[in-house]
Amino acid sequence: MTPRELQQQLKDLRKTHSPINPDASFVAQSKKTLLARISSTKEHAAPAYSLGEKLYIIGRLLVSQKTARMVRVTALMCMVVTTTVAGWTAGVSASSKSMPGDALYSVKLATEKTQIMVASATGDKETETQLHLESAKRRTTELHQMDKEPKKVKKVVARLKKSVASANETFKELKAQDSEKAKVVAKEVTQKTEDISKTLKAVVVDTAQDAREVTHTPDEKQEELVLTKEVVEIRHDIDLAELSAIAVLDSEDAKDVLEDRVEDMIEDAQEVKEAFDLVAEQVTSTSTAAVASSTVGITEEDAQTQEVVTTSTPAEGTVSEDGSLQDAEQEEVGDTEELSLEDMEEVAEQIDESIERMQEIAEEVQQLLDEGSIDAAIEKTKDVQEITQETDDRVLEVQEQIIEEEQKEQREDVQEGESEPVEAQEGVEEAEQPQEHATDTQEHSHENQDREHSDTDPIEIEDDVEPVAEVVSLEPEREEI
Amino acid sequence: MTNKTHSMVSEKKLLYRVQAHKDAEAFGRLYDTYIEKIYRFVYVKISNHTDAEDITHDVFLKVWQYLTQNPQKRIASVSGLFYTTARNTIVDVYRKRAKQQVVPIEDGYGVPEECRMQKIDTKMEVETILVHVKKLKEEYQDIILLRYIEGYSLKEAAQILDKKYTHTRVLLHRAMKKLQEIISV
Repeated sequence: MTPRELQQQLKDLRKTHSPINPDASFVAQSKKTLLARISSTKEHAAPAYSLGEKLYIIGRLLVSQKTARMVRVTALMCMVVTTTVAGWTAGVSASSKSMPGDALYSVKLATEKTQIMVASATGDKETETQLHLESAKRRTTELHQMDKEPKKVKKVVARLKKSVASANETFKELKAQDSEKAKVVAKEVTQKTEDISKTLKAVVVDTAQDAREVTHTPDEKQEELVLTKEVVEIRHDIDLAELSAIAVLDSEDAKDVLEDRVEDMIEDAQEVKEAFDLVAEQVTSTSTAAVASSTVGITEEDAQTQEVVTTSTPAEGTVSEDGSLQDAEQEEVGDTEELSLEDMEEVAEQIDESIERMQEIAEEVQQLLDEGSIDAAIEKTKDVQEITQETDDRVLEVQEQIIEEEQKEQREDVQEGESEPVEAQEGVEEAEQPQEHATDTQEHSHENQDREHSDTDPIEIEDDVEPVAEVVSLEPEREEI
Repeated sequence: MTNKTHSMVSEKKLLYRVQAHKDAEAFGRLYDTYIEKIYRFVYVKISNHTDAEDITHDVFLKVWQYLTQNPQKRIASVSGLFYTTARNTIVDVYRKRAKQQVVPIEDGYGVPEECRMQKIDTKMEVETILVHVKKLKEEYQDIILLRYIEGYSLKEAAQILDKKYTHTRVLLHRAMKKLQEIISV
């Protein structure tokens, strides 16, 4: 028997009259019995399923177990991937707004580094330049917005410096490799460098304003000045980078950008002058305030003395002594003020001269641009740039001098503060002189007063502590009176 | 949509109605679809009409109970559920009878008594094949029954028997080879 015949015979087994098939009567009877039985059980429990349960049941029924398993595994993998990607994306996205000191700030830096590393690995100088500039831009924005905590600011400034240097270097390499690509990137470079430069300017202006409005110790001012110097230096680097990018641009574009830059530089110089005038004004007012505060201090002291003196005959010596002290203080402050103002005037004159010079060069630049000599115009603009740098440096030097002066004054104040109890005791001593009416004590106190007149060195005043202590011991007697 | 897919979807709908609503009418339709198949499956193993009828009836009752008591149970294959329940019920019957020390329904290799009584040639031929099929081991019997008597595809047969497709194909090949050997002897 062939396999086909065998298969046919097996199929024939299903034929209607084959003994293998059930009787029709059994089929009908069995169904009747079965339905009667199951219908009776139906009444007992027919749970009402919610829509969700029904959907779940339909899902289970319609989707095969194998498919369901595959769907489950796929869904799980998708979830894992989605969670990982979403987590990373969310982290990176959230970190993009983080500031130095925030928990996610390191993620932000790591993301930037990774992007730069990838661009560097693929040799894509175009993207690498842009990424370095993006980083620099972000650091600048951070610098502008962050709390000016010196440690954090120092780190941000260091990173900014690095980014600017890297951007400069990569752009140089790009120029050497592919001038056409460099031309395309140059436009964006000029735009970004301009933004960075403006933000850095805002940082310097804000810091200066903050210094004027909030009282800082000379040491704090010194720290701020160091950072300001660095920011100014970076700004010059950025401006040079911009000039280098302008050199690659088409002549028309270069002309437009260059004209704007020269104008900006002159405006900047004028703003520096205005800022300098403000500083000068502040120095003048501080000096006046110093005079006033000394006067107030002395007047209060005088008043105290006078109050005590009312109980007895005023001593001529005391009055004359106060008067001479006041004169001495005024003379001293007057000397400092005069010196600072002289410096200020000299620097102000220098700045004015610089601005005039810059305006002259700007005219030359304009002329060169009109002639179409872009390269020569860029070189001239570099001169303007140098003058701006010199002006900035000069102003910063003056600020440094002022701060040094303040630090010196502070040191002197501290030394005077150490000898202050002695002066107070001397005041008491002076007040006690009329009460005593004792020639010995009066003579002794006159001797002390004489010494005080002659003593300009605070160290020598300290040597007089012992006699004063003797006078203080007389105080209970005054109370008895 | 092919007829097969259509019948499968319709079967799933009936299954849902039974599981979710204990719908007797839906179960009645499943009964109509499977009664002959299950009866034949049981009869091939039991070879006694009365016992086959009892067992078949039990199979449907058990399936009803299983479905209504497990409304959220995923049923991969309705046919697989019926055949598995039938196989288990037959096993239970054998066990029960072995405990009661009742003489087996038939020796398993003999020709059914009723068949012997029928003298029609064609029927005899068919019955002879059945006798030979009964000489095969159980898994060979099952695959031949499902594939050639019931007309299931190899894939469906594999699903009902809960075996891999390749294994089922090999099984069928061996079963047919063995059957031919038995017939040729």
